[in-house]
Amino acid sequence: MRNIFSYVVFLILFSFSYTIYGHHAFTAEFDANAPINITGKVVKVEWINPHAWVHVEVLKESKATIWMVEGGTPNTLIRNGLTKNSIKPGTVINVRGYQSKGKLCLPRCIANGRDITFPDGSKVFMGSSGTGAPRDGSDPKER
Amino acid sequence: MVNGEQKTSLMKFLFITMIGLPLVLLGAEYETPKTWFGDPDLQGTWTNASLTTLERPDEYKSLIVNERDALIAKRMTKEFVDAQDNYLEPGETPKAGADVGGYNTAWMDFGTELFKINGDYRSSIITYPEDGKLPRRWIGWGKEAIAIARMFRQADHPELRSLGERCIVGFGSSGGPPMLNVLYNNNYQIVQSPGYVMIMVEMNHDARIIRLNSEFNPDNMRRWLGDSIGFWEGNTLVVKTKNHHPQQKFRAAIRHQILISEGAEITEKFTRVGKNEILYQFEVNDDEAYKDVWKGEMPLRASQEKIYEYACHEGNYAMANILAGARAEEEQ
Amino acid sequence: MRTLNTFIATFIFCFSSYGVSEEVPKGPNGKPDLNGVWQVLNTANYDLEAHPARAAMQLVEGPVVPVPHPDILALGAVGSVPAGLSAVVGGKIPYTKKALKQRDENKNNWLERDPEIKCYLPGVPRATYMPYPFQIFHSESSFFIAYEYAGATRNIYLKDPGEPPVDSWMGQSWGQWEEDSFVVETKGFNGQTWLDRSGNFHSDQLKVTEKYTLMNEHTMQYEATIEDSEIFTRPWTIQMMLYKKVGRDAELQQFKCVEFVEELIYGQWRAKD
Repeated sequence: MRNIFSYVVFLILFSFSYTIYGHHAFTAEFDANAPINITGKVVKVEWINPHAWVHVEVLKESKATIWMVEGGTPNTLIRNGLTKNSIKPGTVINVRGYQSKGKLCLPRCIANGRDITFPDGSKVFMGSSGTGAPRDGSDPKER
Repeated sequence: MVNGEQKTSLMKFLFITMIGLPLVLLGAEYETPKTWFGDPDLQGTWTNASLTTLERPDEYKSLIVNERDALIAKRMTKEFVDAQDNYLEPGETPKAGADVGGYNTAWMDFGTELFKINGDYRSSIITYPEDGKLPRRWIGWGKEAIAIARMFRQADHPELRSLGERCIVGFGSSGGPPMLNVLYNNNYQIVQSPGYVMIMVEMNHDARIIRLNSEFNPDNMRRWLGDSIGFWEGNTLVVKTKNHHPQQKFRAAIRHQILISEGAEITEKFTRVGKNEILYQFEVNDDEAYKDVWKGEMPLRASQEKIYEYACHEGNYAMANILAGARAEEEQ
Repeated sequence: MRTLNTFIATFIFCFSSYGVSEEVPKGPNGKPDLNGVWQVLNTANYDLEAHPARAAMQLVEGPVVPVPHPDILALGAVGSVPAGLSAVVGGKIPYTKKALKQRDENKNNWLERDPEIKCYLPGVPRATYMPYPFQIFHSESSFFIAYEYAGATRNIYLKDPGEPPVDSWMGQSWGQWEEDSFVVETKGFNGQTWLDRSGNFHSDQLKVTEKYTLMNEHTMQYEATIEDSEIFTRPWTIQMMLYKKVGRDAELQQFKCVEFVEELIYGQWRAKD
C-alpha cells in the first residue's frame, strides 16, 4: 500500500514531460510565446561552456539591437574542426528561436539559437557529416 | 603438375590451417600492456558515446539486438537529426506555444549506433535485472519526488536546479559513478601513476582520483562524485565508491534518470580487452532507492580526439537567465 | 689550523651544494619522477611582488590609516594579508605605463574583480601557487595536473598540438624534457585570469613557459617566464619552490567551490519568500 502511494505521489509531482529532445533548462530560460526570427551581423562569438553565445547586431529602422544567441557546448564543434576564427565578425546570419523570459534586453536581448543559418538556408554550425554526430569510436576508419 | 599424393597432403594442410588457425587465434587472449611501474595500462582518451541507453526501450525484447534492428536504430537517428534540424520551412518563424527546443544537432555528439560487446549490439547498458529496467523502490523515489519536481518546475534558488545547470558536475551521471553517456562531451582521459588511477571526465573537468589499496575517508566528508578507492584483480581495476554527496542524488539527463542515495555502494570494473577498448562494468547497491542491485556494462572506445576545457561556471549566463526569467514571470 | 681549514671547507661545500640536485628518483623513460602531491609554502598568491603585511586585500580610507573594506571587516585578522618576498626575478613586474595603471585599479577593486573570489579557474601560472595542493600524474604517455582549487585540470600534451582552436582559462599546454627539467609552453588564454590577488594581470596574448626541476625527492624548483607584449615591456620570470606532501597529507581534498559562491553570484535573483 505504501509502495503504491509513493508511486502515485511520484507520478503526480514529477511527470516526465521529455520529448526525446526536451531540454528542461531551455523551457525554464526561454518563453515559448515569444518566437523570434532575426537576421543580422555577427559581432562576437563566445566559444564558452556550458553554452556558446553568438552576438548578433540586428538593424530595425536604423536602430541597432544586439542579440545574444545561445548555442550548445563548443567542444563538439571544435572536435569537428571549427575554431574561434570560423565565424568572422560581420558575417550575416539568420536566427530562429525564442526570446528569454526576462525581456528587458539589459544588457542585451537573449534568445536560444534553435536554428542558426546563413541567408541561403545552410546551417552555420554543421557536423562533420552534416548530421551533427561526429566520431564515437564505432567507425574503425575514423581511428 | 601436382600428383594425387601431393594433392592429398595439400588438402590436409589447408584443412588443418583453416580449422586450426582460428582456434588458436580465439584462444589467444589480448595481452594488456603494463605501465612503467607495472600496473595494467588503461591510459588514453576514451569515449562512451553511443545510441544505447541505460534502460531498455520497450521496443527491444532482449539485451541483444539483431543487425537489422540495429540498422533501423541507426537510420532512425539520421531521421531524428533531420527532423530536429529541418523542422521549419525556409524563412518560417517558429510557432508561439511550441517547444522552445535548444539548438540544432551540430552541437551534439550522442553517437551514431548502438554499442557492441563481444560482437553483439546491446539494447541497454543494464544487464541485470534481466528486463533491462531500473528496479526502482517507489518509496525511495517518492521521498525525492518533491525535490525532483522543484528541479524541473521551479527556479526559486540556484541550489534547487540540476547540478549540470549549476556547473558543479556534468549533466546526468556523466561523471558517475556509474559513468553514463549523455548528449555530448562523452569523453574521459585516464592517466596512471604509482598508487593512483586518475579518470578525467570532460564534463565538468572533474578529475576522479582513485586511491589504490587505500581506505575510505570519514563519512562526513562527502564528495561530488563520491569517494573512490581501488585495487587490481589481475588485469581488472576494481573501484569502490561510497559517501555520495547529498545533493547529487537525482541525476537526470535525456538518456537516463537515476537516483543514487548517500549510502549507496557502487562497484566499477575496468578491463582493457583490446588496444582500442576497455570493458566498463558496474554494480549499484542502493537499498534505499532500489529493490535489487542493478548492473550494467558498456565499452569505452579509444578516441583520437582531444578533450577540450569545459569551464562551465565561468560562463554560466544561463543560470542567471533562468532565475531572472522566473522572477520576470512572477511579476507579470 | 688544519682542523679549522677542514671545517671551513666542509662548511662552504655544504652551502654550495644547496641548489645542486642530489640523486632524484627516476620515473617514466628514466626521467626524474615528478609524480606526487605538491604545494608551495609562500605568499605568492597574495602578491607576486614583495609585500609587507597589511590589514586586508582591499582597504578604504580610515581616519588615520587605511582600514579594511566594510565587506571584509568582520573577518578581522583572518582577512589580513601576510608579508612575503618577491617571487619575481629582479623584484618588480615590468608593466607598460598604461598597464600599471590598470593593475593598480584592479588592486583597489579586488573584491569586485579578482576571479578567485568567484571561484573562477585560476589560469597559469597562478594555479601552481594557490594555497592548495595539486597532484602530478606523470607517465610515459601523459602528463596531467589536477589542482585542488576549483578542481582545475591541465592535460599537458607531449607533442606540440599547434594553435589552440579557442581561448580558455587554463590555456593549451605542451611539454618536453630539456635534460632533467620538464619545460611546458602554454598559450591560448582568454585573458580573464589574474596572476595573483593583487591585481597583477595579463591579456589574451599571454604565453607562459614553465620549468619543473626536481631538486631531490621532496623539493622541486618551479620557474615560469611570462610574455605578453600588450601588458609588459619585456618577458619576466618568477621562481619558487614546490614541496612534496607525504603520508596522509598527500591526498587532494575536494574544493570545487562553485557551490560556495552561488549566494554571491546569484543571490539577487532568488525568489522572495
